[in-house]
Amino acid sequence: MTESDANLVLRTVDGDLAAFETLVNRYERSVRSVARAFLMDVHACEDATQEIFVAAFRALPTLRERDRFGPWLMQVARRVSAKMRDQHTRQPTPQEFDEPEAQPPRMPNPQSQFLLTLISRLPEHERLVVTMRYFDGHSSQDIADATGSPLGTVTKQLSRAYDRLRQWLTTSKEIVHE
Amino acid sequence: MNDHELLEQELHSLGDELRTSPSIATAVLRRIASNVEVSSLTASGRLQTANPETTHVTKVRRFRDRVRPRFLTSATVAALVFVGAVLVFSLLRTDAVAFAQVRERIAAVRTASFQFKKFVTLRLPEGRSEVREVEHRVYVRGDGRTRIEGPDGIASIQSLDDLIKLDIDPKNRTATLRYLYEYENQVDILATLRTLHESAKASKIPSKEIAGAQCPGFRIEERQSTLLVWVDPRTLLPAYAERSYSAAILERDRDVQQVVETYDKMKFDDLLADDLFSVVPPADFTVTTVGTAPADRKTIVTERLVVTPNVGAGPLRFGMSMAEIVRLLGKPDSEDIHVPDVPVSDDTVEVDGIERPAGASLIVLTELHVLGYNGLGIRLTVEADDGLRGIQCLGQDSLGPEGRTFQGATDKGIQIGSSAQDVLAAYGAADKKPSGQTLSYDGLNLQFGLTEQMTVRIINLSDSQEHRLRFEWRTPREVGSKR
Repeated sequence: MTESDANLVLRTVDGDLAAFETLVNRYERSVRSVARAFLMDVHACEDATQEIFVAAFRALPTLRERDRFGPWLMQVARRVSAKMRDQHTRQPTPQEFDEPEAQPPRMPNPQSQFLLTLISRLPEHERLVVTMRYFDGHSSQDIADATGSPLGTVTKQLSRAYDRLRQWLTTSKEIVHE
Repeated sequence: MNDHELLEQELHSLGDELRTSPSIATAVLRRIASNVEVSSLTASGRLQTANPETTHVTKVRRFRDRVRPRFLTSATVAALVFVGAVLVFSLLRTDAVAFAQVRERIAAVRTASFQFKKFVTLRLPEGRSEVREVEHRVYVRGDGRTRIEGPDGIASIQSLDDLIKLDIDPKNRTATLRYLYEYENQVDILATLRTLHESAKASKIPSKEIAGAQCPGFRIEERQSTLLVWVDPRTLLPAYAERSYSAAILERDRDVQQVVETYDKMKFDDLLADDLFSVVPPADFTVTTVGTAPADRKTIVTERLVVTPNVGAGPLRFGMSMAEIVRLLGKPDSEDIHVPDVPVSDDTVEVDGIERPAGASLIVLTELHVLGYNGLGIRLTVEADDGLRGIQCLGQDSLGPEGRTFQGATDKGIQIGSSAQDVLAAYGAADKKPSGQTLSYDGLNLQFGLTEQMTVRIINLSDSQEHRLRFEWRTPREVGSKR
């Protein structure tokens, strides 16, 4: 059974780094998807993803509702990503900082980028279950265990998110150009 | 491929793209640990370098040393706040308790025990009725183990992780070991407990005096039932709960007029001994084994499954029950439950020819279980009544690091990685092309999802049957208390 976010947060605050590593692995792609909605540069996205988790780690003792770690992390992700986007647009990326041995992360194709934009417009809880489900690859039961929500709630949120995304996709041109 | 499947495919593709980036977990932990190290160095003025593994362990220990006092301080503050809150509750009206607080408390619970009673009111001839009552003591542990005790020492221990249920009858010195999935309706007590904190639809009801405390009450509408919960204001945990089932559920059995379940004498976070949850039959008992142990996955992974449109894949046949599938393939690596979307607005007057009563909400009862077998590279869609309805064959990119590309092929030789040209040569022109990356053959209920390089990444197969949606119109109604 998947350990709940609330337990992992408690263990992390108690000094257990392995617990935080589990949280990073659990939410890494969801966080990256938020960063990519804000930042077009691949390296900036990766930097932001790291920065988000470091910022979250530092602020973790202030998190009072531990079972709301996921939504809270997404808020941290948006805040840090927006800040880095502002900094990034003011400063050109120094090419000399590129690491030649590292495989450059791929950016999503335009269609995927558009879908990311739509996902970023979903209500908070729906966005979280979609990113956890499809980007971090968790089953609905795992998401329910992690977030402390009943399985039925998770599946309903996924279902509603689908509904919205399908509707938005059919009127995609208007949304893109609004 | 319908809109739903197309969207799902696009979301999976996007997930695949995001997963191509290397994990940043190690880098994040290194940064966190180095920050801690810097703090320690500043304090001690001592430089420490070692091999990465040793350094990592040292850093973790230092982090513990540094953070624990702060945590203890915050825990002390939290304890004082909690005591303060209890005092405040004793002074203020008890309906000040918000269900969100209860939800948080239940989510943190590790064990629970309660007295469970079920009252079934049966219809008898000549308008008479009879109430039958059963009573159990139930123990639940967070690892998916449940123990239910009945009269005469009879006990039933269930392990959801091991998919085993052990029934013990001390009076007759017999034990029965059952493999789960042999039965369609397993009672998941843990899930039942979890539904107690589904706060989204909670509304307040009159409070009730329980064990000397005035306990605020909440009402929660569930899919097939209504739950009433009264909460101890001192612990913010349930003191008593009562669930009654909807008319539509009861209508399935004409002899049953009413079913009410009660949860009483609730205790949380007691230390529950491992022995209580052992699924090993006592040594001197006569043991009967019911059902078949799940298959050894290795025997079937080596088999090259042949996908036959409108029939199935290898030994998997459309219409098979979930029990049959699990007997064949073993426990799935993942199980998702999807409830089909049915768009209903205020103007909707009927669904599937069934008229909507005034003010009624639509409750969809159909549940699609998606079983993931990563080692086989397949996902199966199963419905309780219809059995196996869909088979999805996937490449490793869609399955993650623990997955294995589907090793089989269609009866015309198409496999994961085949080219779009191979598909067209084997099956002819596709019936429709909803997006540039799908080849669909409606008559065969067969779709091929393609990569950007126009090679097959997903083979979707669905059965040829029409499926009826199971649903009910639900109108709000009050439920009487049995306590």
